[in-house]
Amino acid sequence: MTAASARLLLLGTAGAARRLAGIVAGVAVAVAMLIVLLGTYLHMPDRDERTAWQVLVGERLETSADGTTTAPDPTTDQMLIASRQDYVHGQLVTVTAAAVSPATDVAFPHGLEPLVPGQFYASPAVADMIDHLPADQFADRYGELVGTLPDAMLRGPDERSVLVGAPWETVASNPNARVQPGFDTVGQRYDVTTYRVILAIGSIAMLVPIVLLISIVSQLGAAQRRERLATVRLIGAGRRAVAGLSALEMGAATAAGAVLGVLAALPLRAVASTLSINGAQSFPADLTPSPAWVIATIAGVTVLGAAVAWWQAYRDDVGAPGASRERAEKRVTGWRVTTLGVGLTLFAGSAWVANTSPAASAAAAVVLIASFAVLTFGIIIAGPWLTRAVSSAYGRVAARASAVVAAGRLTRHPRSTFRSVAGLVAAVFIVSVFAGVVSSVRAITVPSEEPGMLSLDVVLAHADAAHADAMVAAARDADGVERVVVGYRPGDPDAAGVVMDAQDARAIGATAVPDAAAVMVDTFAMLWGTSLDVDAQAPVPEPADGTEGLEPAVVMAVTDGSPAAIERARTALDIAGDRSLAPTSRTDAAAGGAADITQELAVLAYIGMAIAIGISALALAVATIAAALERRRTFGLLRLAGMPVAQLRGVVATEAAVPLASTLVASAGLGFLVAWILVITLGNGLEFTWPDGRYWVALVGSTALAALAVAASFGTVRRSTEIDSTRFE
Amino acid sequence: MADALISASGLRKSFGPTAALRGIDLDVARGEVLAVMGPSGSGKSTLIHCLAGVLAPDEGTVTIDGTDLTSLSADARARFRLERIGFVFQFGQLLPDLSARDNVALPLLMGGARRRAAVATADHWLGRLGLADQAGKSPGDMSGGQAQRVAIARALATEPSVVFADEPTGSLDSLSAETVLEAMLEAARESATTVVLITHDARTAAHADREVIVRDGRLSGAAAVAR
Repeated sequence: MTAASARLLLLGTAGAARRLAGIVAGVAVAVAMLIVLLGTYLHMPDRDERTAWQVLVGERLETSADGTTTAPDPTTDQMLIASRQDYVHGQLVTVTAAAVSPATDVAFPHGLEPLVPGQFYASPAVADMIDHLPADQFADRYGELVGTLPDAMLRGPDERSVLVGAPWETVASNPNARVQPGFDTVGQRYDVTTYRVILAIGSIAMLVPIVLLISIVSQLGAAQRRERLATVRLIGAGRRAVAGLSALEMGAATAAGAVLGVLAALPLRAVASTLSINGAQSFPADLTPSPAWVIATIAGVTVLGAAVAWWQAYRDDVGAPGASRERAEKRVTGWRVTTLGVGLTLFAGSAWVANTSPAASAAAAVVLIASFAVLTFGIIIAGPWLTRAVSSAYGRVAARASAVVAAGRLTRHPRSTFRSVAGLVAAVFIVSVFAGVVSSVRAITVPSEEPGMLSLDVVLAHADAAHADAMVAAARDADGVERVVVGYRPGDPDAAGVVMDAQDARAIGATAVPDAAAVMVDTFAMLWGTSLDVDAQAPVPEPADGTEGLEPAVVMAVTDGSPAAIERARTALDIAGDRSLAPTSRTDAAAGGAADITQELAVLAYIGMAIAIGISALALAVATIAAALERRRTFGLLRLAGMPVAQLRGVVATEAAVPLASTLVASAGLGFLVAWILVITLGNGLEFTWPDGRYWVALVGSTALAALAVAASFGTVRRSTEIDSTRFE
Repeated sequence: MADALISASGLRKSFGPTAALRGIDLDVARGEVLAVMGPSGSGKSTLIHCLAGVLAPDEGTVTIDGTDLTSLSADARARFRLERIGFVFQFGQLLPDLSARDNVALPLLMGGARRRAAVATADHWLGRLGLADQAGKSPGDMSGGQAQRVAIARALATEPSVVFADEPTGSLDSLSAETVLEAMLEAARESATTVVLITHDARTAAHADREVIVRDGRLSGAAAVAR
């Protein structure tokens, strides 16, 4: 078959050109997203490697039984380094303190000038915060800003990191400090399996609707195309030649779409790079796969598209004209649920193995992703069966003409009618999983005032005898601090808690305080309790002998609760303290744990949901319009016989509503079941919690979008079935 | 004509520069079977569409059983067609997704009938046309002649005043065509339904009470033949 004849056959009509344009656009969207997701997946470990300079790889300092450390004397060929997590207005700041001798030979990363005590470099995000916050709330903690950290030292543009120059003796007193010959440059490939798993699942969530959209677009004008190909068969083309024609058509369209998709990925990167992954946004380069990957993607998509088209055309052999008489689809049977059952079993099994056998967790994670994909496709495979079962029952009770017509089509064409809504159904399933998991994690990490737990207004700092007085004085001077409490290390080193005045204990939030002058309070449990242990009980203070002769262990500032006062107290305590650990509050304790991660996962999940739902709604609109055009002869006849347009709209709406209603609830339910399995097996003691309002808003929104998508086809239905349009059909 | 069910006068209809009807006057009596003949492109289908209220003529009037279709809105004409007119086309134009029974019941349901009553009526008409045992089958599982008889049952099920049949046997072999035509006309005559039949085939036209020939958008004056 010559190229000229192929061109005539494939591009001969406006409808064929529209179909090809639709395929090109669909493939372009898919490839653009695929490129960005692939880049993210591939570069995720690189992001962490750029922060190798923060990694403590040297020898630990010698620590005696009483907790004091012994550090070597300063030399020009080594440094002391320590790190801690600081907070400002709920934002985590990673602080790396480096101590070098004045004549050091230690090279600072990426050509930075060595720091002297009191100087610091900040990431651009921190520098921006410094510009916008009063110094006594933030900047005073680190000293003089002498420059910004280059991008090559950051995971992403919003990373909040500082590199602080510190006195040798200050870092030497930090039990977490290391001595090493310089900053680490190699780093380590952190285990980003969890993020890669999430990314893989998210990719499935977004790419499934796109693949379905392409599949739907490729069906545009299918009837006319079938007739043309049948004519080609009649005049002598063999089955393989027709299959080759289809492969050529799809291959050319997917190649063009893939190239456009690569171009579209450039602006998409800029948008996607603003999303926070693993605690930081990305640089656009982090979302860009290498040229080899890009070429492989274009080639792979093209070959795949052509191969699928070839196989479909070969399998569906259109035959000669007349053979394309309208036929019912092959009957769908209950066996279609098997894939779903297999997926669910594999999923539950791998989750259980990952939970109970740490040694096998890596393999289980792979099976977990695979079984999730099987589950997702299982829903799409089982959907037609469920659609047929429901529409068959619906057809028996349908009383209105529109319902009878719709039920007839649904029963005979469950595959094609379900395909229209499959994207939405898959999207709702995946989002239900995300929402169920994220809500369960977040449920215990949102801090609130709880009886017996450290008040949210309190900032707690570790102290020692050398710094306590200064810390108390500094805190008292801070605006907004209402009370300063000192907790003392008890005489019994094995006792849990600190000793303090009973009134002070009540002021920081302790309850059931005994009627005694001094009490022992477990401030660690009060601070971390609900963050570390879902079943944590508020610690009960016990009577103590008094604070006389005891060494300070913690200094706490009770503030007026305003964010500014909390940050001022934190800054004051930090500056006056030993700088080994940053002052903290219960809000930080919660935010520093799973909350940040779950928040960003929630954002990613809802963005993924928005994309998946948007594409699925588009697919539904295209499918509904395509189906209406495909049946303009039938619809035209109905109108000619007197059917009002409103009843035709009813047919179209019912054909979308029945498969949606019958499968949407099932897919949401299955999503929650999968989330429940994840939470009880891998949730480390978490309890399953129903998702918050955002999920239900998204669900209602997706239903509304589906309704809009169907409504968008009404105009086409009316126009394409006008008597003038159909009387020669 | 004294007992005219359909009365058309001065019908003119153009599509762009092409005049399809150039002034047609035609009466069809109640219960009459009229054959409309003519070469391709002569305006037969346009005439039928104007008579049935599918198309609004540019000029002239069409009255069916006292109702002036040209004065009705498009929606009102659609309602009128649903209640008073039946259609049979060359290829049956059945809905492929519905059973024969549901195809016949459909216009009744469209008119607001209850499902049970519509199905009973459909079964009655299918039985009259010898298709009682085919009621549950899909059109795709039937022969062309059977499908065409289903289409006739559908056209008659609403007990219309008139059935417009456009080449109703054009897609059938001669034996099937004869059977189908006889079945349609017998059923129509039993219920005193007027039939307007478009055909190229003189043998088909011979079944009509009267035939008219359309040429270049006009009724050929010498060709109105009464039997």
